[in-house]
Amino acid sequence: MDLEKRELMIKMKNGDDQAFDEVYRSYSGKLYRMALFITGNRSDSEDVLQETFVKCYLHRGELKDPERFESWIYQILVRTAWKMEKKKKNTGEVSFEEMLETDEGRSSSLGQRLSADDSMGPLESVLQKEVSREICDAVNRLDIRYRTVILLYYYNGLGIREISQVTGVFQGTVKSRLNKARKLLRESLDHHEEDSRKGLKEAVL
Amino acid sequence: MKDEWEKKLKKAIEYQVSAVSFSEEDSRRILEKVHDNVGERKKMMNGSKKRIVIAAAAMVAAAGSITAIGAGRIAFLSSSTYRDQAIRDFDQLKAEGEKALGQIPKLKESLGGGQTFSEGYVSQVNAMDDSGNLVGTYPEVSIIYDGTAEINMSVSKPLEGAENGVQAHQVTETYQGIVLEGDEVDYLFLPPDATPSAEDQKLEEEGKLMISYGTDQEERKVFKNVSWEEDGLHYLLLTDQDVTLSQLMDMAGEIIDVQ
Repeated sequence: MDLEKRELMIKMKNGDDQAFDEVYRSYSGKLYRMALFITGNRSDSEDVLQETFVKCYLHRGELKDPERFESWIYQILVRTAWKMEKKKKNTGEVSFEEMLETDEGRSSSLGQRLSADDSMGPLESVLQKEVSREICDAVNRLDIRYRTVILLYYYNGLGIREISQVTGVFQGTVKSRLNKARKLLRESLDHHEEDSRKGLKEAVL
Repeated sequence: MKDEWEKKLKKAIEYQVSAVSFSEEDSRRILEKVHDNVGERKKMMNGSKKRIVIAAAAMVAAAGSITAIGAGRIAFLSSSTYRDQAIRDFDQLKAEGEKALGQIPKLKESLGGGQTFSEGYVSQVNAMDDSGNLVGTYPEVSIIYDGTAEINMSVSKPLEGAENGVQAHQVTETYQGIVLEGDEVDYLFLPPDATPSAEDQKLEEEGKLMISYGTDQEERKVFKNVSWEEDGLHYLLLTDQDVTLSQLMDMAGEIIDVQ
């Protein structure tokens, strides 16, 4: 964390409302996107983001080390999202809307936006794009806890120990969730790849 | 092979997350909601803290023989204070307290148990009947002492025409001709939408448990309080910490001794 950001965090911690707003502006986009990845729908992710910053405001004095702000706010965000998901499950609400499909123009362009390997032939390139899109769909079908671990590991770049702190579960549990999530994704993608190859071959022939 | 696959996975996830749109307008709208919600939450938090004092004050003043005023019965009291309304200067609190109460209250900056004045509030308490109709309002000065154990104190001017029935207290002592009444009461604090268990409801009906709503989560506390009346003002000392009724009685004596 650079000096400027550190000073901002200290100001916020000491009750400066302008500093809080600035912190919000710096992090709201990233946290909203994380919340959307975890919850799967915009409405819930707005609620999660709002509640995360309400808690951040009310408990900012408890932030022990400004350097660790990100871990602290991720912790609030993840636990708020999980709590919301649990509440929804208890009330029988549908918890997941397909995020990619509701995001304008997103689903269709995802494969194109991912850079394909130049050495690939046309068939491989099409498959690669398909696989990339399928990865996202497969991640979205995972349980919220697996999705969270995947997000923190691959998007936020956190290590097992940090994920354990953020999610409040043992490091062993994080490892097993990460492995299981990978396995589930792999299986899902292998299965899809076979189907796609068959479909494409049939189309070519 | 495995690394290649993981790279693809990472890339796909990074794209999926970063491609989501979040406009400045969305950001502003949510920040406004955050501030609105914080305001409500702070009001509730301070209100909850206040309600602890008030609920106990209501119990001391009215339990067993509900305070009556005119034709109405006071079922509950409410008051909200905001953290930004806290008065942290003791002399200022005394002056504003005198103005609100219409007379000089006896206030001490420190107590013999090692507590010192932390902050105070001057507010209006609303007294309501069973249906939530406002029966009357009265001024109150409250103080939070911190130190070895946090003590809350309030001084209020009872409603004109209010009648308190006679009730039994767990401990009654007389100091300088003033009757000090002390009680220990079990409290259950619940979130606003929670329903107490049948067992707790039964205890409440039997007068063995006070149930109060408005906290974030369920909490059980034992409150000790000592109250007395002097020169038309009602005084209350209250704590949920490791302080005995006898120690509270001693603190009450210190306040009565204030000249």
